[in-house]
Amino acid sequence: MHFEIIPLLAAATDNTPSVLDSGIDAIQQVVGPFGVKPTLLIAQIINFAIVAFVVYQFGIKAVLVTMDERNKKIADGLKYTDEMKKKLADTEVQQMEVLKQASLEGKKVITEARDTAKALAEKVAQDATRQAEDTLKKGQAAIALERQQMLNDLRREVATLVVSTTHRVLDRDLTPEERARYNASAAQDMSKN
Amino acid sequence: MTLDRKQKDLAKKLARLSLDAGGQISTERVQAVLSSLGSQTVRARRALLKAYLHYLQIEDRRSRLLVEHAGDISPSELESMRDRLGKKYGRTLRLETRVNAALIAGLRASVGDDIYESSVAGCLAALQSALL
Repeated sequence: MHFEIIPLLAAATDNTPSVLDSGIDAIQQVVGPFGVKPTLLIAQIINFAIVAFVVYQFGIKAVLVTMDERNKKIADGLKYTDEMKKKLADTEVQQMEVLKQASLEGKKVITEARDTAKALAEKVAQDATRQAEDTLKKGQAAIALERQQMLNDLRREVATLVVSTTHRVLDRDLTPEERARYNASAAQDMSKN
Repeated sequence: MTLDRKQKDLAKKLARLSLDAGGQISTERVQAVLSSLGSQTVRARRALLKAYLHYLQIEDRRSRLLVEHAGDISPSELESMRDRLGKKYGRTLRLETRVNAALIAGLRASVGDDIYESSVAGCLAALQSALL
């Protein structure tokens, strides 16, 4: 309301008494019944304006500055929070990715280890089988050789025994006539050959 | 003192010269050989005489028919054997007989390094070798 009054007051400084007087009269006619005194009103308006100006200049402005700063801080905080939330989400995604990779790597390592163990077990089994077969073959060869040696020894012993027995029997049982007959036959053979 | 090849050949020839026509060692010829060696030195003579003796022993074995027998054998058979073997070797063989009971039956005749065997023990030894 006082903003509308200021142009009126500016117009009142003009040296145009007629307008001012008419204005004042109009006003007195309107506010007279209500007990309003224009001079006081104007003074209060001016006071109010001065107070408003001072309050605005030294209070509201500072408060506005503070409010702006606080809003800025809040906005920065909110922005920081958003950024952190985004970073957190990214980190979680990365973590999931890493866990997934680690899980895959782990499965791969386990599979490889299992395959290696299986191959090693098979190899060990094959080696053991081969060794057993070799041992068996060697054993069989040794048995066969020993058997052959035993047979040779037996043959030798039997031959010696037979010859020895025959020697003794002939030596004991041949009569002098038989010996003489044999000698004569041997002499003739030698003479011929 | 060892003999060289020439001296060994000489000893061998002297031993052959000591044999008579029948291939037997002749005492006269041996004496002649011994007297011919008188010109040599004692040391050389000793070595040569040793070699001469060695070759004479070889010649003696070559002219000896040693018959080992088990049991009896008639002298005529022995003579027949000596004649035949003498013809084979081209010399008169001196017969020696020996009883060897290890033969069981049969004969073993040796002339020099040659051995002729027809005995039971020999047959049994051959059988044993064949079986072994």
